[in-house]
Amino acid sequence: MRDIRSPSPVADLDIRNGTVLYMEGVSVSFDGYKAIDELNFYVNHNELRCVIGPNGAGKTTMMDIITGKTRPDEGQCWFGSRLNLLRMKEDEIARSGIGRKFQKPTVFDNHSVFENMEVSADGVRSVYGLFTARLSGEVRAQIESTLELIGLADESRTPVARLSHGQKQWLELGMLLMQNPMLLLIDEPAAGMTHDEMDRTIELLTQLKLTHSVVVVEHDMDFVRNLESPITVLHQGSVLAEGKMQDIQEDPKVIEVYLGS
Amino acid sequence: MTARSFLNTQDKFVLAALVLIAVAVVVFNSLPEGHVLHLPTYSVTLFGKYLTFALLALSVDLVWGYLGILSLGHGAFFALGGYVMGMHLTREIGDRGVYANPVLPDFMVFLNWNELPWFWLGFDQFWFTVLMVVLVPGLAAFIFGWFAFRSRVTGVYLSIITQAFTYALMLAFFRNEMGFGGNNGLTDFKDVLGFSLRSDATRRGLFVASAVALFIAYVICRRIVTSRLGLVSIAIRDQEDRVRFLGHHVDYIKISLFAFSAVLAGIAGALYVPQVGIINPGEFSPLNSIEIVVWVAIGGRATLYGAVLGAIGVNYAKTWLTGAAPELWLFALGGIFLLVTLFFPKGVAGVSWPSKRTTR
Repeated sequence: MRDIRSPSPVADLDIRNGTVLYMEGVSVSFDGYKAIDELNFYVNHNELRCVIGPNGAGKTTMMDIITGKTRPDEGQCWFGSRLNLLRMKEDEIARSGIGRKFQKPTVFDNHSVFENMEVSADGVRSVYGLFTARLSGEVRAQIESTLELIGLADESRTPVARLSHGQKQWLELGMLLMQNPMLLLIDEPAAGMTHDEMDRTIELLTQLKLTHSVVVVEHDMDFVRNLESPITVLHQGSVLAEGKMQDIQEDPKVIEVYLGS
Repeated sequence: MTARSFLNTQDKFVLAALVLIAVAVVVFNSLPEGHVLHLPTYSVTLFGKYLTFALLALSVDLVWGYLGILSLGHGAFFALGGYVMGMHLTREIGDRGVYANPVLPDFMVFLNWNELPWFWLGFDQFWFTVLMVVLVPGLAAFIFGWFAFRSRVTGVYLSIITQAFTYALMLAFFRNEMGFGGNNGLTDFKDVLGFSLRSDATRRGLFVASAVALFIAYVICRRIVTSRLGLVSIAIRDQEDRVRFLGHHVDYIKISLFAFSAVLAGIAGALYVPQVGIINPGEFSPLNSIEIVVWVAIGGRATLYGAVLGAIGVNYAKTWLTGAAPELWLFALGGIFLLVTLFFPKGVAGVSWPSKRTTR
């Protein structure tokens, strides 16, 4: 596989003690229903973490809180030890180096594959800068190598509306990489993928962890098993168990709420 | 690395046609009266008016077609630009008004005002007027956008607010105390930059100015929508939230393009007023703003040339039909709109050319 560009963290990001993401005592409720309940969750630098849990366990809400889409009622959420995510807006959080792939692939249907990548490219963000932006050789090279990586090099000019579901998933992963984020939040990457595509996704995520921190939310247990990474089990908005796949599978609490049923 | 292909075939066709028509209109109007090919001056002015409408439609297409902001209040920016120019033309009347007051416009003398209100100062200067033609609609749109877009008001709610915006301005401008001539508005203009508004040469000049403004605005708009800013704004139109999570300043992009679009609408209004000779609060009517959107929809959204063709085509039909059967016009407009929406959802532009990608 080809090289993935290392992230370029913003100046304020301080991860010297090795922890990229801290969530402590986070709670949020919607109309009295506690979606997240006293959640503590930490992600280390260069770690690939899987988050599993039954429907309604709060997986997507957790990602919403990290990316600024939902504000928690209480708790702390820090990116590195200096960036308070609860004080930042969605776009600021994204610029600080947190990229997110949504559960339902969210790409721009009226653009070509290449244009989707260009819109996502890290760097220019001012209005006038975007107006005068020229496609630099560097960005073009990064787009091309990323397209190779996600297997869409031949579809560069294809309108996105014509891609398959799996290809859209890949494209969104590629767009995520174009942002050069430090921390990637990936919601159900394997949905709608063939076995072959899944294997390649596993290969990609495994490689990503060498340079990035990655949090993957997934339902497919085979997929999770093959990632061979630490697992966090969420249940009713808080952490039920954390550890290796083997330990998780033998944990009676987990068996009761999730795997056994 | 590579320059984008910037003007497409349709652009070149539309721009070439604009230049040809402009030259032809000027030449035929300059022929002596009685000549077979002589074009009467009222037609020159009529065409000039269509061109200002085309510029107005272009400004709406930029934000509606490429950014997804359905503004049902763009007529307000057109009217603001028009009022700014109207104020200058009113000051230029000088002592040739009915009451022969060298400073105060007629309506102020009529209202027994003794001195010019502060917001009328400076409008005797043409350069100041030009500055205000840009600043007044631009700032109004900026302030509107600052509150609306940063509060994430979108879709139908935004459209309703834009409608309320123009309606509120209409009510305000109807009041005599506002100091803009109340329901009569501003009229009886004599000349612009010292040239009589009644002379054929001035009329041709205003027509040419409208054509030049449309030409330049078209090229700038195309430049915007083919730039990376254009790519991002189409992305905002299609998936606003996603663009935020890519780290783009969605609100600033919307505010900037909305304000720029308002400036174009204001320039259109400023060119319209000397040609029709009057500006009154009726220009703020919500119906006007809806009509602009209908021109764009009929012409074809998100194409730019569709907006131009739609504005000129519909207004040509309006001139003809309001002459032939005035009571039928609104039915006809509604009918065309229905037919186009039902059978040619991409507008006329989507029919005459095989459906091509509109982004580059």
